[in-house]
Amino acid sequence: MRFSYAMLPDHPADELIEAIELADELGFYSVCGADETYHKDIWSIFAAAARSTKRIKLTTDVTHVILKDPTIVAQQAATLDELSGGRVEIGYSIGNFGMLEQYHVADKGARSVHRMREAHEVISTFLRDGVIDFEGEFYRYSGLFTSARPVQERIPLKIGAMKGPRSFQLAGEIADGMHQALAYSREAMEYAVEHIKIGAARTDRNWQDLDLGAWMVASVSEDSRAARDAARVVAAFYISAMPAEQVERHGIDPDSLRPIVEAFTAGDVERGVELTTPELGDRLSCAGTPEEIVEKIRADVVPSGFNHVIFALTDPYLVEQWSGRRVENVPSLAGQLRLIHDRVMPHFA
Amino acid sequence: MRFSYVTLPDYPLTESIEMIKTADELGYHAVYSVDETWHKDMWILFAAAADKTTRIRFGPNLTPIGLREPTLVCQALATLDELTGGRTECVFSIGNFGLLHQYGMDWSKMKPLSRVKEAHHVMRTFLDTGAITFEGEFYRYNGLFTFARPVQERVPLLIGAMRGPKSFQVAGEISDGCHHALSYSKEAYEYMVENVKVGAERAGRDWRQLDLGAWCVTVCGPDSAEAKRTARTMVAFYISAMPNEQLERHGIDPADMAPIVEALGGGELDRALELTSPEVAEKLSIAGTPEECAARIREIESTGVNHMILCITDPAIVKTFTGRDVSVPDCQGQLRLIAEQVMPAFA
Repeated sequence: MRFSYAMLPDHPADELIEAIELADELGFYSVCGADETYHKDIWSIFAAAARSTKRIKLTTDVTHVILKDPTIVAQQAATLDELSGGRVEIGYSIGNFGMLEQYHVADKGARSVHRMREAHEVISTFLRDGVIDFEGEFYRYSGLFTSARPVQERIPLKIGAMKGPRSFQLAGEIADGMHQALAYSREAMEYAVEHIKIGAARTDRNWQDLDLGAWMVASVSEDSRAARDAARVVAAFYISAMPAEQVERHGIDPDSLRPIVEAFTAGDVERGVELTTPELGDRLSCAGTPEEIVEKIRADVVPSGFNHVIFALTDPYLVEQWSGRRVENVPSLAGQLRLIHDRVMPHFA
Repeated sequence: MRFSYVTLPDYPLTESIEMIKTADELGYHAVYSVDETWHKDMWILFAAAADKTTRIRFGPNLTPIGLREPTLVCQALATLDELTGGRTECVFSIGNFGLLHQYGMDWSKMKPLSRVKEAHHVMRTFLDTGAITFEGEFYRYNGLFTFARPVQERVPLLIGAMRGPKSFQVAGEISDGCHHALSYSKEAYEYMVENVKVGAERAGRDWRQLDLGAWCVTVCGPDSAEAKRTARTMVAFYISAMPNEQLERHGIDPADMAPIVEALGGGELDRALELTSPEVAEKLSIAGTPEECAARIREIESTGVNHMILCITDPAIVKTFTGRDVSVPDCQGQLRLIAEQVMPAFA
């Protein structure tokens, strides 16, 4: 089992960089950063941390290929790969649905799997050759070249997916892995793996060689209730990003969540958080004491075949930035990284 | 007169970072870089260099909003502004036409001027408030927001322009300045300044408060002939990016340049260089001894330009682009020479 942490890069930049340095020392596999307009620019934060870290991978989890051209993703990844001595991994998707809606992007649904496939070809070609000529449905290039060249022979290219099934299958078929955000139940993970297997079989690949990551809103503290309450606040914000099918895989009726989504859409954060009950919060996050988290990983993640846990760490700073709420008894990013290192990771060594 | 330099991010990144440190120590106003797919990603370079410097400002010069979503440019700028403690600025335009062409985009059908104006509004709003709801012709947003907030109260937004006159006027009317690339003649800068004034007057602004920049391919060395020969090897690459009107403002007949552009387009590098006469090369670069460079800058200064942006061409860049060897000082050597022997004349 690999352990990584995901940052929603909203903290002061110095704090984000220090957390990456600490995670590097503690032996986390990767720091994963969300590349969304809402946050600070993850590429810049990674660049600032690249030269003061040694082992930790720097992963966009996920970057997006409608608002951002895939050749530019490749250019950034290659540049960061040089700076970090070959530690970049790319997770990409078409982008956060809520964000695309704020940009009035129209075609986000129908052809998204085709777009993802095309983006995969563009990014891998441009990374491999440094030049591209391509006539696709979504992307076209003639004689485009770059001096940005990666250090790694091959930068791992992983697909971020949530709803499935075709996106999971595509990942199994062509990508180096699949990261699923906001899936917490064994059912949701097993569903993904089932379709990853179908995709992998298409290209005669062994699905177990793929990096299968569970990206989970998480919070860890000695105080179980405090951690779960902190995670509940951030989980509430993510409910609107979950497709109905994914919600159902958690034994939740999507209709019952509608008032929460409506509250957030109307900008009523307080009400949206209020409506997210502790029970919902527990189902839609991975939070509690280190021991509770170990138990959850054993019960839901390990049996599904997922081999990588990515904790999107929720600390008091994040909760306050997002909701104005103050939480107590929950450690900072650094404190949570240490708790995971000391008391979660050893159980899966 | 302000002095800044442009780095083409094609060097090993550790070397680029050392150059930026040198420019910071020598008191350059800003280090700029081109935000084009052809090179390494300048945002990552600048983020890595940020905490190694204390005074120098950073920014794209320029970034192409034809290719990059303006709110994403703002997000990167704001993050860099935090990393540098408030030392960023941004020069933008629709983008390099050659680059857009490689993306299958025809700039002439993209209403470049209207698009630049709208992008300016979007970027000003998103940088200043961290949120935007907007219904434009090119850009539309509904409740978009970001936690990426600049440290500076106001990140300067400047427009990059080459052909004019309307782009110069728009810069004078709405932005914090105009940077004009690849011009070297008095005539070209008089034309730019005259039109910036027209725009500034339209908006009741004082044009002298604006940042009026000359983005120039520069080679400065102790050996005049070698500096000029170095510039000549690179000038051909830039000719294809110049609109006809701009060539004419240098007393050059665009028809005479067509064979050079054609040779380069066909991959005949040697032929393109051969066709670039020493006279044309001299007209389209600032090259020579510090004294010669100062004389050229003096001429540009007389038009009202208040900012020199020197795209320093050194042996490594020439080697990368042409495979040829030249013996002029490296980038840091030229930065030093200019700081010690050119800048004092304008203090």
